[in-house]
Order: sequence, then C-alpha cells, then structure tokens
Amino acid sequence: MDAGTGQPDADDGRIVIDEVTVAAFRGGSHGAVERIFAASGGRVRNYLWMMTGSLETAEELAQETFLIAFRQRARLRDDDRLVSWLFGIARNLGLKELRRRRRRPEYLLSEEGLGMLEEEPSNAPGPDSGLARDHTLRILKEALKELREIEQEMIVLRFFVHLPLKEVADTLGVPLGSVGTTLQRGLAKMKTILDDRGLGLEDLMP
Amino acid sequence: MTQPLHQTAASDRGEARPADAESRGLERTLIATGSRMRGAMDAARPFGADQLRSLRQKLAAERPHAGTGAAGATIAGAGGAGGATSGGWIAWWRGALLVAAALFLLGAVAMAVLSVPLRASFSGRVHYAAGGGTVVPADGALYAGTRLATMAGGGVEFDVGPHASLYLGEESRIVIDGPDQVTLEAGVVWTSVKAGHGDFRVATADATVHVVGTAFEVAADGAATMVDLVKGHLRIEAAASGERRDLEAGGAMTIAGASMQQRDGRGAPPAWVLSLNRESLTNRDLKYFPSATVLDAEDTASSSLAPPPPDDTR
Repeated sequence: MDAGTGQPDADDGRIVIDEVTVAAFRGGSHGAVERIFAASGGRVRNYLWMMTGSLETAEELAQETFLIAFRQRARLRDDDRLVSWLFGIARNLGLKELRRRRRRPEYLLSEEGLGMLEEEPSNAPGPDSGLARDHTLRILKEALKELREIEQEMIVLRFFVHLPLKEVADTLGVPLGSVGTTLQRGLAKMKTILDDRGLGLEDLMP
Repeated sequence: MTQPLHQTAASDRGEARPADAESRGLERTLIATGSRMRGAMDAARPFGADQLRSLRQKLAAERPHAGTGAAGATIAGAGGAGGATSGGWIAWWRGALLVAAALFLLGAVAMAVLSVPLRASFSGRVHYAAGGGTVVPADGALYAGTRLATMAGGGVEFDVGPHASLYLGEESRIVIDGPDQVTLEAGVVWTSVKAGHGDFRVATADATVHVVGTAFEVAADGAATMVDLVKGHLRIEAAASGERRDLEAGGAMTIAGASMQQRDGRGAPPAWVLSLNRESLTNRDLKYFPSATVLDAEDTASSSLAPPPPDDTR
C-alpha cells in the first residue's frame, strides 16, 4: 500500500488504474477522474512538492494537473501511459511555475520541506522511523545538485517518486534505453562526489 | 519497494552493463531513503479527503464533455469546403441553415407548450455509487429524466437541486423529474431537505410526499408506499383519492390506493443511512472508488438490470 493514497502499490512502483476507470475517464466521467486522483494524486503531489519546494504550490498544481488532464483527455494516445502522461503534465506545470518565479527546481525538497519532514516520523518500515536523527536527505540533496539536470530528474523520479523505469522514460520523454545508462552514470557521479567529501555509505544509513 | 537497477531486466533498463558494487550500495541507500521520505511526506500532510473534495468542486465547474471539440471541427470543415467551390453552394447552405433554425425554434416552442421536460435541465449530481449493477450517469450529472438504479448491496448518494440530499438504497429505482422532484419507482430512498427552501417532492405510484424541510424515508414495493418521518413535517397526497394528510416528526404512514394509514414510526434514520453517515469521506472513497463495480455508462449497464424483487421486509 502506498502511504497516503490507500491504493495497492505494485512492487516496482506502478500505479495501477483499471481499464474500466480509464475508459470512463476518456468518456468524461468525473467519478473516474476522482478515482484516478485517489490512486495517483498523492504521488503527483509529492513529486511537485519535491520539485517546487512548496507544499501549498504542489497541492494547487496537483489539482491543476488532473483538471488539465480531464480537459485534454482526447490527447491521451495510449491507455497504458495514463500515469506517465499525468506526471508529464505535472512536470510541465511545476517547471512553468518555477520559471514564473525565476527559480530553479529543487528536485529534492526545499530547506523548509526538509525541516517539515525531520519533525515527522515516517510510516515506512525501516530501522529508523524518523528522519530527524540523520542528515541523509541533506547529504543526498547536496550530492544530487552536482549532477546534470536530467540525471537529477531521473534519480528523483525513480528512487524518490518511486516510478518504474518505463514511466520515468515516458514522463521525461526520453527513450527507455537511455534511462538505465543515464541513471547508472548519475549514480556513479554521486558516489564520486560523496567519496570526495569523505562520506561513505555507512554515513548515510541510519 | 523499488527494484534496484542491477536487478531489473536488461530490456527494462535498456542496457546490459552491470552496475559496480559501490553504485549498487548507493542505489540501495536511495531506495531506502526514498521509501522513508515518502512515508514522512504523507505523514506531514496526509493526502486524501480534503484534496478530493477540492478537486470535485473544480470538476463540478467544468462542462461535462468539454475538451473534445470534434463536432465543432467537423462543422467548420464543411463550411470551408462550400466556400471554396461556388457562391451557389453558399446560398444553398444559408437556406438550409435557415430552415434548420426555423424547425429547431418550432420544436422548442412545441415542447414548451406541451410541457415536455427538457433533458438538458440540470437537476443534481451523483457523489457516490457502490455495488454491482448500479447504474449512474457517466459524468455523475443528473438531468430531468435521468434514472438511477441499484441491485442487491448497491447504493447511490446524490443531490437534487440545491437543498436536497438523497440516498438510494439497494434494489431500488428512481427517476429525477427535475430539481424539485423525484419519482421512486421501486425500493427505498432516504431524503434530507434543508428547511425553508420551498417545496421538494418525492412521488411514488401511490402518493406524493411534499417536503418542507425534513428528513424521511420513502419505500415503495409495488403494493404500497411507506413513509417514515424522522424530523420536520410532511404533507402526503394520495394519488388515488387526492386526499392530503400531514405527518409530524416520529410518525409514519402507509399509503395503498386510497387508503392512508398512520402508524408508529421508527424515529431514527434506517441503519444503512447511519452507516453511510458514520463513515468518513476518506473511508467512503476507499470503500467505493477502488472497486470496479460502478457501471459508468447507462446504456451498457441497462441491459443487465433486472427489475428488483418486491421488498418483503417492511
């Protein structure tokens, strides 16, 4: 179960939306939009939160994402790509909003967002339920900022938004083959950056 | 859990080069941190009912079938082709359009004179629907003439007009007559109307229940109509005799033909209404939305709809 959405979450991160709902969405069903929003809206909101750094902006843009998707549903070419199409709309909205504010994407939350998370216990299973006692996120964010933008986006979509590789590729509009290569290259660079700062993996794990 | 890149199929990741051990370690760290971060984000600001309600309000402002534009494109194309050929065609099209407009106006006037309800009269909206075989409109919008239906275990929550909230119980059928009246064909409907907002009516084959601001249940089983009043007061008009009687809070009445018999009421909403009201919005979303039991297309669903059996529990 993906926290916050109440929807079954496939092991590889896929957001599962049944074909009846997609067909109803194409037909203009408001109920179908709501079902899709209930299944994927949390992930879209969190992606926009990570990107823009503002929770309020993310919530507004997440709603806008689904309204635009509803209005432009005739443009959805492939039912199987509904989720990546939604994330693509969200990404465009987020980048447009950041351009309007003359800011660069955060990709991994703002300082304010990190502060909010450090005060909250995580629901995810793990040896440490809170993010307060370590600075893993801050260290990773600093290392991430050193990468090319496309590498940053792929790492965030893959590991932090939890999308499968195919949906990462569709969201960014790049060939699937280049996602694996770019991700590997980005991870190798990140490792080098951490090494240069004298940080090993043991410093990141709680 | 996100699968590490080194464990994904080569075809999935698009290349066969194995990752080195250190990158795999970092990947595992990112997977674990991402999972914890998502958990913390959802805990910091849970995603659910508030966002869904806000989206619903924005969707309600949308035109039901906006965005396709196919019909407009076709008409524009036809006009353009005529303009490119000859002036005679233009005159022909103009004449045809004038005739079509005149016929349309004539039809509209005839319908108004004959008091035929226009289907375009928007009357309300479905909020929740559950149960196999439940029939609701694709976009949830209710117009004069829309019929809702449920089978065993089903239910529909909807608004009619600005002040009436209704719950259609299982094995029931109801027709929306307009923003101020519904007709219960079979089964049971629970109605709550805000006080002081005019007359709202629930009609059955036996009677018409006039609502002034109250909460009540109407059930019709083909032989009689049962009305249970919880609060406020009602005026009930028997269809056969035209006789009118008032019902006060806590009262109940059975109408069969010209007979109107008062009896003791339940004094409380039926259990299935209470269970709907007790559940939080989020729980209802979880209960109803993920299931693929709602048939969104009225046309495709109607063929599987059997008439509900008589309700012998009352």
